[in-house]
Amino acid sequence: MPHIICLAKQVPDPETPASQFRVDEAAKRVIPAPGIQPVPSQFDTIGVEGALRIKDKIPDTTITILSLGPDSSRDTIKHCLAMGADEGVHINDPAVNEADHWATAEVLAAAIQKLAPYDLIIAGRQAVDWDMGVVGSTIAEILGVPVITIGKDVQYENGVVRVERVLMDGFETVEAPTPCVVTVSNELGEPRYPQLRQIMLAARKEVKAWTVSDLGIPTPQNRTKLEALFVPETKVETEFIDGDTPQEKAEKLAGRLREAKLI
Amino acid sequence: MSDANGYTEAQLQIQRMVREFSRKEVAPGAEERDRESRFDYELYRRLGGLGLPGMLLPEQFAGSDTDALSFCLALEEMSRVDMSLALTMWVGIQGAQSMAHGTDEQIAAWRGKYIEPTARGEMVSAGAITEPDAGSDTAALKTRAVADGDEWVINGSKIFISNAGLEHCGFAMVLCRTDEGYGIIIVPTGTPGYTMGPPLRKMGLRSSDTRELSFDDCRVPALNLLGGRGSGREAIITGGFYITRLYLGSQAIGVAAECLDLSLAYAKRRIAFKRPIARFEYVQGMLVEMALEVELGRLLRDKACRMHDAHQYYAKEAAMTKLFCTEMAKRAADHAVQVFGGAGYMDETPVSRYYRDIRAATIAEGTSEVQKYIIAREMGCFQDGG
Ligand SMILES: Cc1cc2nc3c(=O)[nH]c(=O)nc-3n(C[C@H](O)[C@H](O)[C@H](O)COP(=O)(O)OP(=O)(O)OC[C@H]3O[C@@H](n4cnc5c(N)ncnc54)[C@H](O)[C@@H]3O)c2cc1C
Repeated sequence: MPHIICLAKQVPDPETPASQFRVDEAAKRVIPAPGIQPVPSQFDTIGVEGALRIKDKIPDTTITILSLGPDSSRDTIKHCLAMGADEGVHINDPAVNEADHWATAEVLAAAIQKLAPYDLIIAGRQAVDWDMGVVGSTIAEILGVPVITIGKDVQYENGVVRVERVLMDGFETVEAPTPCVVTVSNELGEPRYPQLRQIMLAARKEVKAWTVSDLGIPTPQNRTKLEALFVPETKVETEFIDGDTPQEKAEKLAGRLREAKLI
Repeated sequence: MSDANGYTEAQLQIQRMVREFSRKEVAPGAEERDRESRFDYELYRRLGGLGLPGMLLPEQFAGSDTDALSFCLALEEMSRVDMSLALTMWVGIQGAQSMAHGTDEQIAAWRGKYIEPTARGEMVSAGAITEPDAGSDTAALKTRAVADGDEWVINGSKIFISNAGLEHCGFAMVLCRTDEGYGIIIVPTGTPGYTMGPPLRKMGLRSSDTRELSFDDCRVPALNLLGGRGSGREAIITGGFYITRLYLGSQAIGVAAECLDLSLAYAKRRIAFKRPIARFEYVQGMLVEMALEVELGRLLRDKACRMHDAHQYYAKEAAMTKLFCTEMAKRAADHAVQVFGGAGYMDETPVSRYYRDIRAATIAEGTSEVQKYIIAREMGCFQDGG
């Protein structure tokens, strides 16, 4: 009976129009866009999809969704349950609301230990809000288990995980003994839509809510400090290249680009 | 947990799933389906796979037993991108919905044949009420069903009937005059004597199917009278009308909301006289009116749905929802074309399709005038004295 733990983070909707994206520079915080609901981080639902594909083959697999975040994160857990996951655990503790990647990994690793035994931990390659891409690997480090990153296909059989990884110039297939951590990329494929019946089942499922003290660890401290947060100013200047013939225009354009040291 | 609209967690999940599916899977082909007056059967089966046509059916019929508000939120989201598809769906489930409330004998006969295939998206049904000489004035209908042994013999014709001509339409629910008053009779597609005309050419809703039907000594089993003989048939008929008003109202909210979003985005982008047209007060006036009316429409629809879901009498609220939402959506589509200017009149922008599609909404399922009559009646205008 394999046990897969999927990490899922709630993030501001990446589809938020750029004109509505604001930061509070003094508080160094992103201001939630009014009326736009936060969503599950896309790579994380792809991770859940990866876990569900294993469950499709090995039906007695249990998938637990683990999320660290404020009250609203419960919605992300419910979404993953509606996709077909079995259990949900929500670590909801104001003491770690501002956790950096290390503190986040420490809290999640402690929760994973509390959920033991487990065979596989699946995370997205990165959360689509801060794009750090280190929490999965850091958890593996803390737990002392192997990690395989940026997977596009995850197979599990008899205590061995086989992952096809995405490289800069191709793919490679690697194996690791379980338990281990795998992070997945969008090449794995689209996450499935929750079906109505699953949504209704998920609505009735209880999500366990834990605080840091339930995990038996001291509140972890951040190791990084956010120095400044701002939206960079982008200036767009349009210059039209004139010419009598297409050839002349192209020549002028090439000259202009060379001048600007772009080619 | 709920949001500012008071929607539950499950309602919000359903809304989000249908929104995502509609944007990613339904929207891309909507313009082409409209242009070619083509219904996409494969897409409908995918709706079935997600469980959308079966939402309202009890779990024992392969449904997921949600409330009406959840279904309305789903229709609203789907109508934002394809009003024809959402119309086909809610019209198409009405047969199975009614059958699920049939007698034990009927349920036993229809469950595997009609109800469950409808829930799975493999079948739709049609509802045949309107006749060439009886539209708003339903009481003038001429289609007759006469009992003959253990059969009904049906004669008459129906017009402007949605869905009947679709390949996967299993049956029509035909409103007939019988010796015992009105009754709805199930007529399976392919029954001898039941024929239909070619698809009618329409101003909008072109990827939905609309036809004329005729019944010529068409024989079906006695069992096929919904609710069985002598029992609460009137309640089935009128009860069915109330809920479909909320469905069409929800479709209208979806269209209006999309017209608003598209218009607002366009108005902020389109430059005239050196500034975005959203800066001009006359344009703002249209946008503000749309935004306000979408909100009001939702409040009214949500209230009516909640009354339905709480088993309260909601005839007035259903009529108000239908009247207000469809009229305001018609205005919203008109504003959207205006905000888009010449581009809005061209088929390259979706607003021209919305403008054509929404036009049917103040006519079908009881015209606006009929809704006003119902509201006046429910207000007691026909009862004299203070
Ligand atoms: C796209 C589309 C799909 C449809 N699908 C179906 C379907 O699936 N099944 C079905 O049975 N029907 C369907 N209809 C038909 C629809 O329900 C009728 O068109 C509608 O009920 C109006 O009837 P009518 O067309 O006969 O108009 P009429 O009843 O002739 O009305 C004409 C005008 O007179 C007004 N009027 C009539 N009586 C009164 C009154 N007492 N007081 C004030 N004004 C009045 C009406 O409001 C309207 O403005 C569909 C129609 C459309 C456009």
